[in-house]
Amino acid sequence: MSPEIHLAKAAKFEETVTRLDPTDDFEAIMWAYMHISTHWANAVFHSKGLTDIEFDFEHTFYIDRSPDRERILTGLDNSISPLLDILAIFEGLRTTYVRGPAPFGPEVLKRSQDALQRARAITEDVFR
Amino acid sequence: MRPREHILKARRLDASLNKLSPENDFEMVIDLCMLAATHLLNAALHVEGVTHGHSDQSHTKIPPMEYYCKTPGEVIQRGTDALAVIEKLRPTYVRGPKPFDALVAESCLANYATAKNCFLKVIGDAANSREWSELSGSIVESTE
Repeated sequence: MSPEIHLAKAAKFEETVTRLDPTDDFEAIMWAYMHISTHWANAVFHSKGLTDIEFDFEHTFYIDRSPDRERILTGLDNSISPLLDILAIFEGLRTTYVRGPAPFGPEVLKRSQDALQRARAITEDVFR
Repeated sequence: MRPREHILKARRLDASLNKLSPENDFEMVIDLCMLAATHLLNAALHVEGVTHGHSDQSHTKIPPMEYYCKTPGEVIQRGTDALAVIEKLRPTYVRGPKPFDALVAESCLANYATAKNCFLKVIGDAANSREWSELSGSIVESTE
């Protein structure tokens, strides 16, 4: 999928989040953040030539399913690789708080908001 | 997770779903239907004895139902079929590029309603019993 479509899809999720409450709807928001970060990461990877637009990853482990894994690993520099760390954070939050029953608190909300902000900064650097 | 915990999560996700519009929040509506119905599927599987409280499906086929010794009954199967239809929308409309489609949204919500009804029918009031409640143990004991 082209970077433009990924960015547009991420923007749709961001708009949805504005209709939700950070505490009452934290599961939905966390899930949306995961999608936003994944779309941003795909857009950045395509734009930087790490992946073709035919290869979108949904989860971090998809990197190891890529037919061109070495190209991705070679192209991952310090400016881009934190995107994968951020995706891993959301994958962990998803398992624990959306799929799982762990009790939610302000520190969890802050962790997910901080992760999204870091992903946003990296993406804006690439597309500014 | 115990059935009661799955039901409480499903209720929260359902409440979030009700704040959104199928047209403006199409992608999230699909995923919230999937998430809420999957929690109810897990509760139903636990109540029927197909899986126990520490073995949860993340999707209808992950892990495959054939993996288990006990086959889910006809009502769970009907709900699972409806949930599987919702799951199939995700690569195209949530992860993928396709835009809002009113018929797809309508079908998604109809399948969610079917899945929810089927799973709640199996769950019945079983999740209210102490054995299946997240409150089983000292908290309940100490109030009685």
